[in-house]
Amino acid sequence: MQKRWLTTLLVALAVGTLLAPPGFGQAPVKIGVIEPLSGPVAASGNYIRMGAEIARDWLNAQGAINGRKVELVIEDNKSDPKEAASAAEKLIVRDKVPAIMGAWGSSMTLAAMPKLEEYGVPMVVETSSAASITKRGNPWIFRISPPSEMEALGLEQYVDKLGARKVDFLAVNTDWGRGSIQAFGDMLKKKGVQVGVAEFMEQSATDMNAQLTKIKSTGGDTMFLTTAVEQITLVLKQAQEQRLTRKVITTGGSSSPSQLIKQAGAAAEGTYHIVFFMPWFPEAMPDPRLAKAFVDEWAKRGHPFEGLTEGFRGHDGIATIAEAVKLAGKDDPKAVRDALWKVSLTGVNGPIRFEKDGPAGKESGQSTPSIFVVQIKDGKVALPDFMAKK
Amino acid sequence: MSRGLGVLAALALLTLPLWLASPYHLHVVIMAGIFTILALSLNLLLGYTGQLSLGHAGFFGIGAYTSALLALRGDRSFWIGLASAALAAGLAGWGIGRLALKLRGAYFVLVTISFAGVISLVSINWMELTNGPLGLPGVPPPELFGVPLRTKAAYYYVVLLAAVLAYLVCHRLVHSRLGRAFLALRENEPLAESVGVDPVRTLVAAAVVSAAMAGVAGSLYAHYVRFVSPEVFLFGYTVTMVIMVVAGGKGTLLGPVVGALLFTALPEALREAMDWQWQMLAYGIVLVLLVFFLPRGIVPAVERAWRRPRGRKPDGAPRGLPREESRPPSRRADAAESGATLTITDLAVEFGGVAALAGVSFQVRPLTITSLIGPNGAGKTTAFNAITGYLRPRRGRVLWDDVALSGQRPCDIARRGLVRTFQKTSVFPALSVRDNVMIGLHLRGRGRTLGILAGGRAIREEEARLGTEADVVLEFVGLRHRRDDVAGRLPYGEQRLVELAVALAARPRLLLLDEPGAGMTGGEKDRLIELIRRVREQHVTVFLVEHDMRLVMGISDTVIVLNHGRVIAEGPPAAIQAHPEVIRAYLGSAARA
Repeated sequence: MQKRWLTTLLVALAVGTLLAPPGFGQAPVKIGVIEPLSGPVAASGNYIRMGAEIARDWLNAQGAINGRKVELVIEDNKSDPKEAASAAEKLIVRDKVPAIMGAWGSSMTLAAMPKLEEYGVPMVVETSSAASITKRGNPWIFRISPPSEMEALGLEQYVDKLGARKVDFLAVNTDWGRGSIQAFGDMLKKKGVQVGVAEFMEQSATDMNAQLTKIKSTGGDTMFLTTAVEQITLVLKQAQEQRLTRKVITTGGSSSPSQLIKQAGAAAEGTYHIVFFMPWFPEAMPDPRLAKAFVDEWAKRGHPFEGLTEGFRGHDGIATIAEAVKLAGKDDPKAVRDALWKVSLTGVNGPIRFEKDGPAGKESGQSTPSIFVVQIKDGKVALPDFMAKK
Repeated sequence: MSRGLGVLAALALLTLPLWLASPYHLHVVIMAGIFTILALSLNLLLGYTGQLSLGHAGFFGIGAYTSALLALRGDRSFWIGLASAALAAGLAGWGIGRLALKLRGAYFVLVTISFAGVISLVSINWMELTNGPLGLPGVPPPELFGVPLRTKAAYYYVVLLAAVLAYLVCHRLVHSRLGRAFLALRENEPLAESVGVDPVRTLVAAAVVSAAMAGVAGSLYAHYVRFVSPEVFLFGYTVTMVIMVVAGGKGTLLGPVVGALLFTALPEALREAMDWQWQMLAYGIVLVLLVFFLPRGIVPAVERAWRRPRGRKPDGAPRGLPREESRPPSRRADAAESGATLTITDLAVEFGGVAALAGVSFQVRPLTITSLIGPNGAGKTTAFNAITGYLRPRRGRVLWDDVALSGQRPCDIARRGLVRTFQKTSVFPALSVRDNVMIGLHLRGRGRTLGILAGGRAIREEEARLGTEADVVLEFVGLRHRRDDVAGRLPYGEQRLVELAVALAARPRLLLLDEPGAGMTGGEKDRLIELIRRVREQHVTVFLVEHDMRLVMGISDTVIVLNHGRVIAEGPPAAIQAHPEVIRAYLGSAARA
């Protein structure tokens, strides 16, 4: 009985396969995506997925890649390195994707990297900031997000205009927070700026009064703040309660000033934020038309405005891979890897072009993203004067 | 049949990389192997001792970091790392066990959770050692004779070997006196202590072996994923392990293996089957269905389904009275050894200001049957509890010949030959009658943790010897035909006999029986009286608390009467029955009734 049922199913499957249109050339180009879609940072991961889907739909609407549709194979890494490695393995072996975009957190990216090397498949890294990712000699890594050093260098030109003379740091105790303090500290010291204390807070901490008290005692004029937007809100509120009168600069690009205005209110007034996308001023972005289109499409889909500062990464990552596949002329991982070195395009963030980074002979690719500074002024996001002139 | 299946399974496992074409599937199998070791290790604690460790990711992480650091900073080989990982995690297990296992249950859960939390914070903040949240990338693959085992197939065999070893470790432990001690503590801790099982020592041994196994899994993980970061301490890993053990069947050997295979393969199968949005949902539904339909786990359910059609022998086996010719348990007929006197001097116990015993003094002379009687609340059971270490008396002394027993733990007192039973029926309910008796034989075995793990002839011979002794004891109390029945499902009177068998198996020199006849039918009581007599013939002193006057007066040499926490009379049965104060306090009403 059961056997007959099985046979029927098998026959049906076989017939289905035969009837399906053969056209191998029309098979879609699959692109793997590994993001934290569940767990504590699920919001960020999902914004990136939304951005990636916009890129996919735009590509397919504009004739796809040499006539072949783009298909995203999306995997959840659950913010767990083990899952990121498993997801990479699955995407490469089962789905035979020629390239992957991922995997948000540096731990996840680092855990997936041995798999890239094992099978020889390139990955475009869209968010991770740990310096070691491109320094390890993994020639399958192409990063479009700035490592902290690059972000610090990007800010260098504005340091004098921000008027920072003596700075302190407060950062989340993760690879990102620690890397950020190191990088900005080095850059500021080189510029002759005095560096005070560096304080850390655990990811789940809600009371930062001890750290703020210590920072208050140094008598500096500026505080660099590196953490997720929820914790930034808490820090700003507690700083206000302590009457800590400092210029505050948040780093990392995920700070979402719009959300801060909503949640921290007056406490966020006057703060500066390093961002990699300014959805408030698409006209000030390197490709204003693309930026404008992306913001409009995002709104049309009903995605939350706050997500734009993350979502653009998804678009740029997929656009980069698609461009490489187009240049390679086929969806073979090695050909795509070689083509990634030739990619030159302007994404929502700005120009994307890879330069060699890491030990000679096994270099990873690192693009130099554009970096912007915005300020919260009168309860609105504003372009600081020094940015507006550009 | 089952042997054929075993050979087939072994062949399949050994040739797996040959016919499993997809490296992705091999990857899943390797992860499943690592989690099999973890689930087996957690099962030792959760399934066998009944203690829930929610810090198992801590031991796993310690193993991963130890191995990774030795490879990256110390340039040591994988094999040294593996051994050190087991050692480091085992040491942590010992510490946690010593700390937490004096307070068990919820406290153990809390301590293990905090332990994993603290270790995780250390890994994040001790930058110099662990590289903090940046993690340790680039852990090298293992080498064998200088050849790096880079391929998945090679690593598969390493993991397979480790998993099989882990299974064997569990198998050996479970079928040893140590494993029975685990179960005894899970099933009935006071009873286990009464026959000499040392709870702290036993549970610490379980924690050490369990933690060391988790450490091995951590090392295997580190050298496979080749990246270690504080995320290895994720609480989610512990939850996954608990799910594997519970869904597979806790307290079974195969359960954690099945659970680990299923719950490593399931998320990956779902990855292939559906979009990411539905995966978590489907996973949750499978989990809920499993818990709902197979609450005891997959393996116990399959075992039951497997057994049912073959049918069981009806329980109509001869309801054996103890046969007169049955050989009594071999006991050393060394009068000098058996003939110790129990001397109680001025024993006082208070419960919140109420004196349960107000300075009681008496003696139990060697090789007598002595009964302690008195109305309800006279302090009889309290006296038993104080003598055997279950209660700390406020003052007074308990001497066993010239050895002071006051202040010793029940298991140490059992070691000296004083074994008690309990007023309320007290067996190891989920275990077979024979296993109950085997636990009673705990002090008769010599095997220690390491010896048991190593196996060897001495251990096997000891097991065989204990098995024979258990059968002799069962024969003696007339429970031979109940040998394989589950103790908790026996009729009440027979459960009392099981209790007696457990106590006798410990080969007491002084047997303290707390109302052994309570709830027995007339015929059963006759058997009991006969049994107690025959026990005494084996050079055992019997000290008895009992309400049934026919029983007491029929067998006692001496009767001690307690009332309101004081001794009011002491003497041979005839004298007691005539004692005016006793009649007033107790016998009067009872005799008329």
